[in-house]
Amino acid sequence: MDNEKIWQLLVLKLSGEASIRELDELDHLLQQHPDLALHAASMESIWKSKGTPAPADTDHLFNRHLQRLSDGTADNTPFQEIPDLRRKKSGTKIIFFIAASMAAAAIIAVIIFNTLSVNGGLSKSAVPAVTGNFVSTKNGSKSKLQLPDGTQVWLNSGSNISYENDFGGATRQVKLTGEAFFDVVKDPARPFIIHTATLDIKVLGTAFNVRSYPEEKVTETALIRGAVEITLKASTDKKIVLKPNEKLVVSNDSSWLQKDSSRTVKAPKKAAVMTLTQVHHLDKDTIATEMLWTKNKLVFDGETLSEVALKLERWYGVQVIIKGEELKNIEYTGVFSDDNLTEVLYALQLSGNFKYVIRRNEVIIKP
Amino acid sequence: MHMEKRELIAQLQRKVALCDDMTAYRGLYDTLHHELFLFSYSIIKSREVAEEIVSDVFIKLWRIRNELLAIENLTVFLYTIAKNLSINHITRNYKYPKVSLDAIEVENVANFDNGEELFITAELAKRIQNAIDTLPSQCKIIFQLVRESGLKHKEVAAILNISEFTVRNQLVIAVKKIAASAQLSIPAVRGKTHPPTA
Repeated sequence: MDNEKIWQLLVLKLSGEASIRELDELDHLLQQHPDLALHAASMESIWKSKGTPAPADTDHLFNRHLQRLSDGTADNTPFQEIPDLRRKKSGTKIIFFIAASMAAAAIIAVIIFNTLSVNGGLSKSAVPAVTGNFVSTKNGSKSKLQLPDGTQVWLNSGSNISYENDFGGATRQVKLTGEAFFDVVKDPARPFIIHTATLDIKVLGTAFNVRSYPEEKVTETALIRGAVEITLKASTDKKIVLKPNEKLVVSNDSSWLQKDSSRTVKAPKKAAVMTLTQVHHLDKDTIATEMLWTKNKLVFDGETLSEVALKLERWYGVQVIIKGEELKNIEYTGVFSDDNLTEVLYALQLSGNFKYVIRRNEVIIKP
Repeated sequence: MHMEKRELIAQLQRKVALCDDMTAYRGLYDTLHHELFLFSYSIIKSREVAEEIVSDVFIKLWRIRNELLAIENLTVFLYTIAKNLSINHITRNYKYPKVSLDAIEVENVANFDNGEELFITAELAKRIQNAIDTLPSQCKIIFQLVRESGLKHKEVAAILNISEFTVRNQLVIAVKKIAASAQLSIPAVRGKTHPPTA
């Protein structure tokens, strides 16, 4: 019987599950059984002679995995094989999360938001497609990535960013379509350049938001800290330097700047061709309105219903149809932190003069 | 599994859940894919299929990333999915009506190559491997999960849906057998065949 006890204690020791008392007991028993002590010693050596090193280079494997992740060739059966290992809800844990950090508190909204939107019956295919150095987000999803130089990029819905393999060589260059918030690692020797359809932004180490969706009328650059130099594609001799808390809004319709165009400004009536304004801070929020989306807050800052509709389409991955021209130019302002589509529409509808219907992935807004 | 690794996995889990962080997702993949691969391979015995299953496990992880905070032990969670997918694969492809791990011939993936101490000779390694090969399937799996992957008894019990008591008893069987196989070739032990003192 002693022998059996020795084996059991040895197993606990080898598995790293023995208490100090049990280790003492094992030592004591082995002293009385020197024959087994030899067994135990050799067994320990055998146990510890670890082999099977994991492959050091996982790039190849991981890329193949991402390929399967993004093209959906994988087994798509529902999650019946997912075990229910949910944490039991306990007050202390929730308090811990809230206390953990401000960021955590802000991000708790993310989960609530996502869960709610699932309940709302909206599609949530939020797989960022990654092929080489191209990262894109579909409507209804956001992503955060780190570039090889350590620069952090938050990519908003319906956006993509790409960079060459030699990123981090002489310069650091990326191409952006859509909206992203950059927190660029300082490196004066290698300027960081962001190319958009309308303008290029050169930075030396800073945090700022760029918004350049092809379907929108303007390209916005909002600087939070540091300094950036902006070159307009349409007139490369014009360089604009932004100071912290300044925001540059440039019309995406660049015909007004082209040499062959007449002097009449062709830009849309509502948006000036180029405006330098201040970064906005809505009441109560200490962070700039322009970067609230990185905290998963949906913001309308005096935006027309057409603009609101575009944002809703990207944010929730739905299609929004406005029936009624007169509705399109009514402006809305509001911040939604953890609301699902129905809640947002309900709130907007309270202040406006429209009704809405949600059918699957389609929202119809009418007078 | 060291505390550091557990802590790392918990941190990455939080980042993926809260920020959709691709870098953290990659970190989880790098940390766990190989041991999940070995686990699945030991059941499936095909490298290609095992690799696909691990990829499927991580795809599911990404799809439910925003609910990850609700999962207490991500390692157990991922192993359980890997186990279920592996068993599903066998049921589907070999038309077994209902399969439990015990009914599947499990491949031995334990490794005893020892570069430093030279304690384990090629001959001894072969003996040990043979001993493990003769273990019952469940026993083999338990031994591999505890020794190769460093899982806790409690975790193995949760993954295989058995009691911690069974995990420990099966380990005793495995360890006894391995020790017996090693005994003959260890110089210090050779010739010493004391009967166990009663």
